[in-house]
Amino acid sequence: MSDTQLNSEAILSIKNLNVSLPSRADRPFAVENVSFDVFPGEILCIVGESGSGKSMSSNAVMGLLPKPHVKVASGEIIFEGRDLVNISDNEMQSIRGSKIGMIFQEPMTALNPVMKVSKQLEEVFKSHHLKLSRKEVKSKIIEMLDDVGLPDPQIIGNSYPFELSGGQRQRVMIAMALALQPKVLIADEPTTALDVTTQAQILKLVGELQQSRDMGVIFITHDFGVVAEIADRVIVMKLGKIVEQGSAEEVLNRPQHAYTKKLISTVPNLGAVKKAAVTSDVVVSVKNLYKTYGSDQKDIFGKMGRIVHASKDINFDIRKGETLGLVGESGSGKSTVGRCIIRLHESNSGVIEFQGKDILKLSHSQMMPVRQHIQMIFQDPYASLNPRRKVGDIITEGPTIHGVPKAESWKKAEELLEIVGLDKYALKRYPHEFSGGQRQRIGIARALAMSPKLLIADEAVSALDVSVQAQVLELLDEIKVKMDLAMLFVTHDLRVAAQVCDNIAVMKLGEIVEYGPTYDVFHNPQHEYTKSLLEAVPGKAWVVPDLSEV
Amino acid sequence: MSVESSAANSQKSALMAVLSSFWFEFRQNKGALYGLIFITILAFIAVFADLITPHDPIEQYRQMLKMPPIWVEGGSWTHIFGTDALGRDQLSRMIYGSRYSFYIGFIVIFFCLTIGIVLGLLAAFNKGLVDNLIMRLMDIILAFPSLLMALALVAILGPSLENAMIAIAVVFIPHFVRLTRAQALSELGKDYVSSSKTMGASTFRIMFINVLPNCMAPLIVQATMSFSSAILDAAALGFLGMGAQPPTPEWGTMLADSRQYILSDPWMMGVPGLAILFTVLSINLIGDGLRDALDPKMKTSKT
Amino acid sequence: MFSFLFRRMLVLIPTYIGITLTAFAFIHVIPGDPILVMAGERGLPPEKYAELMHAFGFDQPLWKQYLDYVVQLLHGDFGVSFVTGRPVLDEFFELFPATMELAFFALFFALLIGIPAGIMAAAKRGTVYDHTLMTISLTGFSMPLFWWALLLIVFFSGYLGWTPVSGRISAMFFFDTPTGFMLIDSLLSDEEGAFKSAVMHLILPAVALGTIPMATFARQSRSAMLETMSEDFIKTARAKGLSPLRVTIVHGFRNALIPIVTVIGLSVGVLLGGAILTETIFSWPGIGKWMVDSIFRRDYPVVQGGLILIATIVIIVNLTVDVLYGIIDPRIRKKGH
Repeated sequence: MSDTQLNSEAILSIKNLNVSLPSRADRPFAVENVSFDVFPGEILCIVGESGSGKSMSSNAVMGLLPKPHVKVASGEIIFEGRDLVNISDNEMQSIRGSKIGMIFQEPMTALNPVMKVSKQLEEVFKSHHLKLSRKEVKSKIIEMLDDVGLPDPQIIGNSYPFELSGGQRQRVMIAMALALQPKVLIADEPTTALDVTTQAQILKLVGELQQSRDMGVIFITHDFGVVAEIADRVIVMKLGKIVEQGSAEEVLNRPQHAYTKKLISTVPNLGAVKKAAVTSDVVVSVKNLYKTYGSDQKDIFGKMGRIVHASKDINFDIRKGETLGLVGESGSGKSTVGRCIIRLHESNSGVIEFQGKDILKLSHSQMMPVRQHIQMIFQDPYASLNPRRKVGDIITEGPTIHGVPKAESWKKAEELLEIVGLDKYALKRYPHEFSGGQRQRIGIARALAMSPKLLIADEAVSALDVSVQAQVLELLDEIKVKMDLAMLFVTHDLRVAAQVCDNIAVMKLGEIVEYGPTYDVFHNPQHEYTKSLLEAVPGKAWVVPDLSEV
Repeated sequence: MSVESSAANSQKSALMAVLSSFWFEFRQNKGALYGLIFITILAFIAVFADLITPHDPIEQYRQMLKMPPIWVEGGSWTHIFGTDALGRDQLSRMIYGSRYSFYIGFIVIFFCLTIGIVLGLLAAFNKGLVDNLIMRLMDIILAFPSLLMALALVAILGPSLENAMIAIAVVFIPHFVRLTRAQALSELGKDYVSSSKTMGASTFRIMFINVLPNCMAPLIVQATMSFSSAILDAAALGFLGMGAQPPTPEWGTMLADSRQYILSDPWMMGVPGLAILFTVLSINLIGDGLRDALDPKMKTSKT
Repeated sequence: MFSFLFRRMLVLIPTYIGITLTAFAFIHVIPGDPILVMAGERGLPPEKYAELMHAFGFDQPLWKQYLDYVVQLLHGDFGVSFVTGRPVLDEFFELFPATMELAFFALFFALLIGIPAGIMAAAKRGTVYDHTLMTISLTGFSMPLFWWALLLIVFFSGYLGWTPVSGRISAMFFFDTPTGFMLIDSLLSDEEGAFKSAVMHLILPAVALGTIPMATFARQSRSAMLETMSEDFIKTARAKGLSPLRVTIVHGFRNALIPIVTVIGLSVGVLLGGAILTETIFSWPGIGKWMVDSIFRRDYPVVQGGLILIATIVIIVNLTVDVLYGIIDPRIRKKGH
């Protein structure tokens, strides 16, 4: 942050803001006694875990709280000398979109699916009663789409949202939010749903636009990497309250508050540590695995079918006690490989040798004994546990299928819960009574109940908050060592991969483009794609401070 | 405490917890509560019909034809709801009629649920030929307006209350099949099913132990709504002379009997009509309450 | 879009075969010999019976009979009524305009009131207005149609004496009916008061028939609007500074239309089914009453042909709904599924 910004006047100041929740909620206020300023030309990051009230405070600024249940109870939001809390709906409406713009997390759902992009942009000009001719509006739209770096603005303008990629949609969102040159832009987790390379581009775009227009940007995120990448100043929120605020450099490297310290200490460092090569027995060996979707036959209309290679000539080995990271962006086919190994998907060709046997050739009944030894942990902690069955039934389902008596498997389940750090009374409860992190622990216990040799973790920590993520990763590592498991760790998050994996395979469009020890892949990437992935990791320049002494 | 007994205990307490949270949600909806009260009273009347009816429902009091109810001039306490054109006591006929309403509703949804669930699950788990066959069959039934289809079926089977119920069940089944199939397909895409597969669970286990309980909430709502539709359709068939046959005291048939007197003695159609309306309305209110309590998606859109 | 429609029509072929089979089976599973039924009380001499058996093709094997039947259908021959001796198709086309007129106005009435009421209820969710409206619509939804029709007659025809009890037009008018739609024909004729009479005859049955669909539309529009209004793009629209009205109509209603169109499509089946009761009660000479009468008279060729023709209407409506989906939703239009 430069000195001029310090001296200039705040364009937006929030003073003692309280946002009340309906009486049934677990706490009385979503946002409690929050005060901060936004200056022109700065990016202010609000960081916090889910439920910290970070989105609520920005929604309050926009007057977009889900009234009447959630409303501003007290406090001021001063913008251009007016208190936004007390102005009329009409006045607020004229400020929204023209003076303060906003972009949202989900580019897939944030645009009207049945309206052309140009039409949605046009609405912004029309609704704010600017005296512009049709032609002027048209050229403005083209100009806006061009400004956000979309190629062929004409074509994009004429498209419907579903015809664009996630990154393109987010650019359209930004164009829409910035169409009327607002003084403040509120970005609510705008890159969370995007792939890492797209995220890097969007972050760069936001930074550029903010500088060229001297806007104040409130950037809400849960990702400290993103904070390190773009923030000038940082606010850390916890349960509706601000626990720490300061310059990005201070907060990231010398956090004061215990909560900030805890959050930052859980951020995995991108620099992988050199580990000794694993030389134990090979548990699973994948050779020339192919998996395609669709068909190349003509359909009844003579249209050629399209083949999509979900995985193409995949080769790797995993040894006892080794964690192999399978990394790549969405659509790279990394999850498909995991699901082929466990035979949730049938592969087209190739060999999967598990303990010396090609399991792709096994019939369903021959596969049964093998199933005990390959287990999977799933991404979504909500969808992966049957909501209508008790935790005990969920964990013991596998052993029961394989003929273990109920009493014995319940006893084992109790032990397993202890291993994953849950109380044994959890057995009698239903999944919805647990938090996301606890559910993921139950998922791990379920996998362990089968005494597996190979554990496939499919984005197992992606849906979790960063502090919970760290605990689950630690647990996985502990179990791997204790039980001497081989682990296939499928992830899109390079920071996580760097921390937990012995070896890394980088996938792109169904193929492995680079495969080697983690340290080598991170410090001396060979393939262009690996380089671009690493380049795109937000906050790569930031060395996470060692806060272990506290 | 042994593992077994603690498991049994927990089963009870977990069930209680689920039920009490369900009851809490359900009670939020005042309409549903009133509906439940009405239906409970009606069920009580139906069960104890023999004890509370003042007269035999088919006995004809020849000297008291078309006697008006008590609140109309000329009414008498011996026949509170009056008598019909044949001198039968309306109140007694109404009380016995409530039995038929429950009978119709329960039998129809029993067939709909069992056949609908089995066919729906079969279709969802056997993509391809079986699925296509079942769903095309359902398309065919749905291509005919349901009342017309039911009428044609009764014409084949012969007019009686039992045949009317079969016909109504047939025309309702496609909705249950479609719902079960759609619900099962969406559940099949979830990872808890994948997890069961990785354990080596059989298709039967996945179908009935894992998937079916998760499909039940919308099916229960659909069954409730069909319960009331069955009462309405049976009454309509009775009204057309294709349902319950005289002298069965079924409400639709009673309405049909009163039809020719609508301009001279309009009160005669009032009581059975109101009874059908309130019964159907109460069940629909319960259905709405169940939907709010069971369907988390509807719940979030409510708050 | 066209390939999408074409695909939909391909799926219809087995459905249609099923429909003709159902109608064909009807005459064969029904108890009683159709020839004897046709002959009525007097009975038939054996040689006459054999002659008729042959004439109707009943002496052929079943599959042959079915094939012949389908060939006949493809030639537009739906058989001849036992009772009137006229071709089924002719009778259908003569009576169908009456049902269409009735169903059209019932649907019009239902849409005009039901959808705005549902949108308003969604917009004012949780208020007294919402609760009142939803109570009324649930009552309408629970109403036994035939009883409701009788109530309307008792009140408007009996008590107030405003409307006639039955028929399409007063018996005092005589004029040609070139279109079959009484409202149009009465306007075309130079009879004074004919149009008014036609309108008065139409109102009660149309309101009776439209009540249940109206209640369904109100409920469905409300829940569809509530669902759409909680979507992310609504928040985007508000963040753009659009007026609440524009957000509700342009962004909300436009997207809520898909489930609403679905129920409108489904309601056509409900209307045709309801027409059976309404037409019977109001002595409205349409296809609903025609079917009921034919079932009672055991006029099997009419029942058979009528079933196929009515199913055809339902199928055409379903196809139209599919086309509407394409118009409303570009995702369906462009991707073709």
